[in-house]
Amino acid sequence: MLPIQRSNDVTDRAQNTTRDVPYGTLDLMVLTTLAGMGKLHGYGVARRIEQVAAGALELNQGTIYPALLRLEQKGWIKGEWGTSGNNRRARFYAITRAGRKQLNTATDRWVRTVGVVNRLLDSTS
Amino acid sequence: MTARVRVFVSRLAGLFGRGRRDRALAEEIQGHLDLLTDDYVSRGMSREAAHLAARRALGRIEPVKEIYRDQRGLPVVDALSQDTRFAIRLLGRHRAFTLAAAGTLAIGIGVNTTFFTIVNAICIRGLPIERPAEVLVVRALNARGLPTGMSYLDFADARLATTRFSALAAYADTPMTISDEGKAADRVTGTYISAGAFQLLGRSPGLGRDLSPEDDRSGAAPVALLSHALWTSRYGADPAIVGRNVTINGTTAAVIGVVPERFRFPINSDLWLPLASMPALANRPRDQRNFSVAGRLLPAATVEDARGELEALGSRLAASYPETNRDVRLTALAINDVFNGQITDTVWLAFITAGVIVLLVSCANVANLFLMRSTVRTRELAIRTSIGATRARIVRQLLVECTFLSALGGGLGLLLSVLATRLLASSVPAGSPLPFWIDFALDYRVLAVVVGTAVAAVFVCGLIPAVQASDVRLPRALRIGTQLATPTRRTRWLTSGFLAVELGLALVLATNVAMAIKGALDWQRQSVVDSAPLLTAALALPGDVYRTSPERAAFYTNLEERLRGVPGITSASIASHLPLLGGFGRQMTLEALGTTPGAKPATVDVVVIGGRYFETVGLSVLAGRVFNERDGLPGEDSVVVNQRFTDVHFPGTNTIGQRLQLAEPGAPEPVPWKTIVGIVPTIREWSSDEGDPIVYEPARANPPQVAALILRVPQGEASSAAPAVREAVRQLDANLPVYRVSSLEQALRDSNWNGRVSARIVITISTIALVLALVGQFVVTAQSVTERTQEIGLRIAVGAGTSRIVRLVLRRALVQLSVGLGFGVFLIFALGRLFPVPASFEDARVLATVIGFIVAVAMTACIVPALRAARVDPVKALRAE
Repeated sequence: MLPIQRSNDVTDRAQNTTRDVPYGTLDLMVLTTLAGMGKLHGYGVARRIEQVAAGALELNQGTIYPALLRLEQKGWIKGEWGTSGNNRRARFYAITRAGRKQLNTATDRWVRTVGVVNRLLDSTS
Repeated sequence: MTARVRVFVSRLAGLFGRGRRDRALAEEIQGHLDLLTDDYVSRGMSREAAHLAARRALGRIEPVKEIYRDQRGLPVVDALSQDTRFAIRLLGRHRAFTLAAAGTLAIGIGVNTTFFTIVNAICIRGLPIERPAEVLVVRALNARGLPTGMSYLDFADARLATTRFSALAAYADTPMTISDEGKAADRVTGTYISAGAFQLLGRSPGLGRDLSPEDDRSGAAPVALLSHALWTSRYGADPAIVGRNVTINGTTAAVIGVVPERFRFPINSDLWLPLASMPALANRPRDQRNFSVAGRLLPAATVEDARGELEALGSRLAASYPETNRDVRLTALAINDVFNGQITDTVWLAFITAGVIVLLVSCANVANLFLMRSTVRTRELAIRTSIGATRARIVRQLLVECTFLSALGGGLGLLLSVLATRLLASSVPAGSPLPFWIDFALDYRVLAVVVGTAVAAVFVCGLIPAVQASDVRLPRALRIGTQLATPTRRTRWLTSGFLAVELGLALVLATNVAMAIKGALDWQRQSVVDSAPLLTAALALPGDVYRTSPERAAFYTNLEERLRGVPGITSASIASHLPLLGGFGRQMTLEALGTTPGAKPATVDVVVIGGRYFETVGLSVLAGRVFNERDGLPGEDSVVVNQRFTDVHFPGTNTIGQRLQLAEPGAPEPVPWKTIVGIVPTIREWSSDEGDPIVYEPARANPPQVAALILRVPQGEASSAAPAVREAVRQLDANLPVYRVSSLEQALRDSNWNGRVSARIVITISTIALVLALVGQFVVTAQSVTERTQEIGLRIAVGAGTSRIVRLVLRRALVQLSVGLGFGVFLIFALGRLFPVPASFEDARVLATVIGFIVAVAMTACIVPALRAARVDPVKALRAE
């Protein structure tokens, strides 16, 4: 399912496959990417995530934009217009200080959650 | 948390500049596509294939944009603004509907707001003082638990003893005369007041200085504070007044300051003197409780603390001074509870109810307009529903429309009420002003009520029609060829229901007015005094010049003598009270009944009159005699009573020769027995059908300090009589001002302005309610004729005649009318506590007359649409199908 929390969610829930982006993780991925790569435009972020996922995830690239807006509204990233490598106008995003703080908290929580889930899986299997 | 606030702010900002933001997003996504395409091309795809692949990778764009948009702004606001734009367009297109509905609401809201402005000014806002909740009025409660003022000595003890109040101040109003060299004397309301009182209330003189504790010591140099009004009217707002000497009650005093505009504590004072300068202050007995006392609580003290302290002090005083303070308790009340009118009074409740009734009537009318229009709009709503609008969405849209109407109505209503309160304020006569703190001004409370009523109106008049209209039965609504939509049965029921409610409410008010008018007519018929040739004036004898009763009595006798010689004056007399304006309240003991210990003594109005009072006023004696030269001299204690007194106290027996005692409330000294020597006709009062029992006492026995002068003047000579009166008084005492010279009619009107204005208000709003209800009935009938055109055409086609059709239309109107009026009659009895209930046969006749009137007018109005129905051309009507 797409990481979109609105009720008028347009994604077709029937298409939910194992390769979909897990709920609520897209924001974290975007933040990590921006933290590691510096300034990036939307396309760059999407491509980077796809590269790292190496086929394990099927990212609907358009969904990156609501995520970017969400993060920007929260003040975790900041966007500004600039020119891309091949001379096209694009909006570049960079992580803010608040964004880094949030990333740390979210990473901690993620690691803890994954740890718990792993232990649970280990103990039951 | 901050993130959440940031999100909200940025969403709020996202509501604006929609186009720009949409373009930016489109550009961003386009850029994404271009980059992706470039990427694919560089990997060896053809441009065409790369373009398609890029689109595929990006996924569906429009839904993403939609989500983006929703997330950017606030979707609720977006939808609302859509509804708003639609509502404005629609209301602009149907101007007649908009005007009718908004106008009706404006009347309802306007009346309601006006009433609230009045209630707010008199019962809610209170004194314009600092932190009024901390200021208490200290009062004594007498043996019967009734509140009285404080005596000076009790006040002095309380001031010494208190640990809960930061300050206590006493004050007493009294008429004062202010004069200067070479200027006519003025009669004003003055107040003896403790130094520190203004500081306690949080007000200081705008010019000069406040009273200081040194001023408030016996033997201090006399000083005075002026009101802004007196300073302006008498001294032309000359700032040099501070430090000048004026003469007050014959004593020279230095003006030390001017109190700011519109602060005339306690009621309408023009002059303030230090309490210590009050004549014989320290010698006043402990049971002469005629001072008001106010105090400000210390920050740490509560009202309960203060009450406890006063209670304890009261008991101590009762123990120390049993002969004056036994059974007297002390207590305190918030100052605004004392000064404000009590909103729970029947008068105010009736007032508020009347306002709400007009509001409800207008809301019902608007609701019916909405219901009728919803029938017309059936198709529009059906189309909206069929393309996916939910019922909630349609209700919301209709409510938004209603909100706009209501806002429009609220704005107009506010305007109306501002005009109305201005009219009201200008109808208060200058001679008897309202207490200074009553100001019919808008404040935040009034605005809150306007907004509140407007919002309530949205739901009262919008919700039911909206829910009803949104209940769209698609097949029926979309049926092809239905040019004229017909209302559902439920819509018809609702319409009739609203109509019944408004007719019923209007009947309540109309009956009330009719009964009041009947009372007024009765009063005019029965009034026995012809006030036309009577001129009145007022004068007050300063206590420091006319110290004793014989001195005052001699002055009055001389004055009456002198006036008798003035050409153009037929007859003259003094009186303590003008006819129809009450008297001194006295406790009365009748010898014939004896005294039952512990029984509450009867009270009666006593009017003290000069020798020629009855002749001047034009009352001829019914039995016995009027006063002669000897009445009122020691040992000649006689009184005259009116017919009503006889009817009440001595029905069927001989009144002449009966004896009675009259005592001032609370005065313990024994009073002499007085013999009734005559009976005169009752002068009837507006307020009660029967008139009040009155005892007349000769001025010689008990000459009042403040007196009215009544003069009988032949028609046309009133203008020359006034200067003659002034001259006669001047010859007797040059320093004595004569004031309020006017005809008795004018004096009565001025003193009764309150009743007159209230009556006018009630008549006006009842008329408004009635007209609204009748218009409502007319509109509903006219609309039903329009809706039934086809049916009526069919009836005519199959042979129904004119009278049959007219009857058909009128019958329905009559049924609606009867239900409404029946409801009204029920309401009249249900609201009996607020409005007078028709109790007698006479009253029932009034009610029947009102009902007959309403039915007649309504039926006459409904004849018009009925005749229109009868003229329906069956061919046209049926072709419309």
